Amino acid sequence: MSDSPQILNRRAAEILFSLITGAVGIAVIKGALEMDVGWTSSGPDAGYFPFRVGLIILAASIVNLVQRGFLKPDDGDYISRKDAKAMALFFIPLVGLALASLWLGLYLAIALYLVLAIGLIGKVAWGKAITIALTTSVALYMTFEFLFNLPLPKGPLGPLFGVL
Amino acid sequence: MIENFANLFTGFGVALTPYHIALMFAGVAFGLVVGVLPGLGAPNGVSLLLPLTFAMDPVAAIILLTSIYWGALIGGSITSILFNIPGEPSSVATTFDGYPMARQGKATEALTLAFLSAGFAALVGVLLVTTLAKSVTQFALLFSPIEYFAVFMLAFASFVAFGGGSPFKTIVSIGLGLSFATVGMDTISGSVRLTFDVPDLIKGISFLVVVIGFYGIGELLETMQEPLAAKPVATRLDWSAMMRTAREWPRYWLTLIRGTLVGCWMGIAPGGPTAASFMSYGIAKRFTRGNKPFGKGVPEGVIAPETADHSAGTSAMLPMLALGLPSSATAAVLLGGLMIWGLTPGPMLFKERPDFVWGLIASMYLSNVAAVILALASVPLFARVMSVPFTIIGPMIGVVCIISAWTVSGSSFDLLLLFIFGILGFFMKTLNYPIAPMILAMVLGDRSEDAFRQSMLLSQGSLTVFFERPLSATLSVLTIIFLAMPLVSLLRQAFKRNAAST
Repeated sequence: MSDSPQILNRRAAEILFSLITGAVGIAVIKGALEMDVGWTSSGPDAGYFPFRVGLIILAASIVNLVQRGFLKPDDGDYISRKDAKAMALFFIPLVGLALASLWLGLYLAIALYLVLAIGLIGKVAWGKAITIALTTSVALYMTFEFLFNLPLPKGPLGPLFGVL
Repeated sequence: MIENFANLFTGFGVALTPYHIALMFAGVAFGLVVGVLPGLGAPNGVSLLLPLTFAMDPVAAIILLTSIYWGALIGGSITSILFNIPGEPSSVATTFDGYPMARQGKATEALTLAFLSAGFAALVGVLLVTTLAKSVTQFALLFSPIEYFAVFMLAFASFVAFGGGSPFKTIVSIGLGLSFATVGMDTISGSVRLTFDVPDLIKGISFLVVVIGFYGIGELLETMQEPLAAKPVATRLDWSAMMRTAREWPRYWLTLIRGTLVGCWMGIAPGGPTAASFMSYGIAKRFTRGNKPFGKGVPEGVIAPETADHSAGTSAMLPMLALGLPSSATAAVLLGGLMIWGLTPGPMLFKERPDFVWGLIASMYLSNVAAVILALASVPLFARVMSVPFTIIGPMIGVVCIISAWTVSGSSFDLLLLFIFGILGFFMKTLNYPIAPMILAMVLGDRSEDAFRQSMLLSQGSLTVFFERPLSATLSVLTIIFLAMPLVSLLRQAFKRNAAST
């Protein structure tokens, strides 16, 4: 981990994340303010609870920001360029799988994804990658369709499955 | 007491059907796999199969899901000992002495000790659940919305005080969980909250998607960052060593009992298995006689966390069933399941569905024994699973996450949420924001808010109502003390810093 240059050290990450949680806090407060945050004749209004939760998130985020960013900064390693690449190589194809599953159906998309993720990115021999992909896809189909009786989207191959 | 055991026998009648026994073994086996694989743990193992149980009978469903939990707890210890990779957060403490033992060629001894201690502690936990069931439900009858709100706050406060790590990070986690639970239709006023004009958010955020994102995608991202350098140690089980260890095992009775007590306490009071195992390891290290080299492979260092981990896991079922108060992330997921199956936790559950409650308790005896046996039998197999390169396992787990997010409600919007929570989970995990309190807050969010509103109705808006009755007053005062603890230590640090600089 250490020989690859850092693109985000721990202190920067702590600051960034406390800003994100602070922003969530503000969003929750804003969302709650769209309703009444006070009392009605029947007790606290719809915004009462979220408004206070939002305030707590914001306050605790500010403490974290000050503590981790300035009082007790830790300039240690967090994400190096190598880490970022490994994570992107896992994450982006997975997002691709999710998108592809919307129009190819889950089973076909999974087979394609596994071939690419294992064969291309994982650099496993193509024959082996294709075998794993097909076996997994068929096994999942059998499990969900017959064992659990839970049909999943099949996309354009749908009619074909009916024949099987 | 006698009534409890009479109920237990009825429970055995419910649990001991071939179908239920088959579910126990299947659940334990699946749990073992889930516990061994990185990126999958007990909470998301259970949430992966939860959507599949929507159509099942609740008794069968809970037996299957809890069996997964027991299997995953044990599976987590296997990889801790053999590979120094905790399969579960609650088995991190097992690596401290388990892996050194395995490195010294004592893998068989370490595993045998771990499994036997886990089995022993789990059974003590179930026994405790059995004996206390009646009195805890009677205690729960005293609870009005006021006490419920107070006890939920106490649960959150105890994570802040005893969770370890930064209390302010724990507070952020809880706040995030509560906000996620608020999204969508408000059950009391009917208004739509925090949807930011996204129509898909009106039905709310399913905690299952959050769990799969956090524990699945988030953990995989973390694993990508530090590729598993699995250096398996010799994994052939040596039967004579196993028998010898089993004979020596009772000698560690003091550590066994101590660890089990810590676990039972942390399981019933919200603390959860992870905190219990660390606490138990710490206690064993401090109080074991003879100046043993903890951290270099002493048997007590394996027994202490394992007993606490498992007794906390089983005894956590009691507050979950009687009060609807889960003390671990997995128990929170199970509680969510209960609500989905249309069951309301609480004393009435014991009255109206004794078959469910006692069937579950009875099944816990058997499934924990099954977990120990299956674990012993399958160690060589799992050692081989772990030698499959991560470039193959990683994408497969990714596929499992996508499918399970899809099965939650068949909505493509859940896939988007899955990725968002995956990234959020990665940051939270690596920056030490605790995840269990967030899941807990998400599952308890609606109920805490309802309890709060009902209390306010009863008191006509006065907050002093939480301090009026002895039970709620005790709970509220404890909550305030727990919440004050981090503030006090913060002030003390600031004071020290001032004193040092002058």
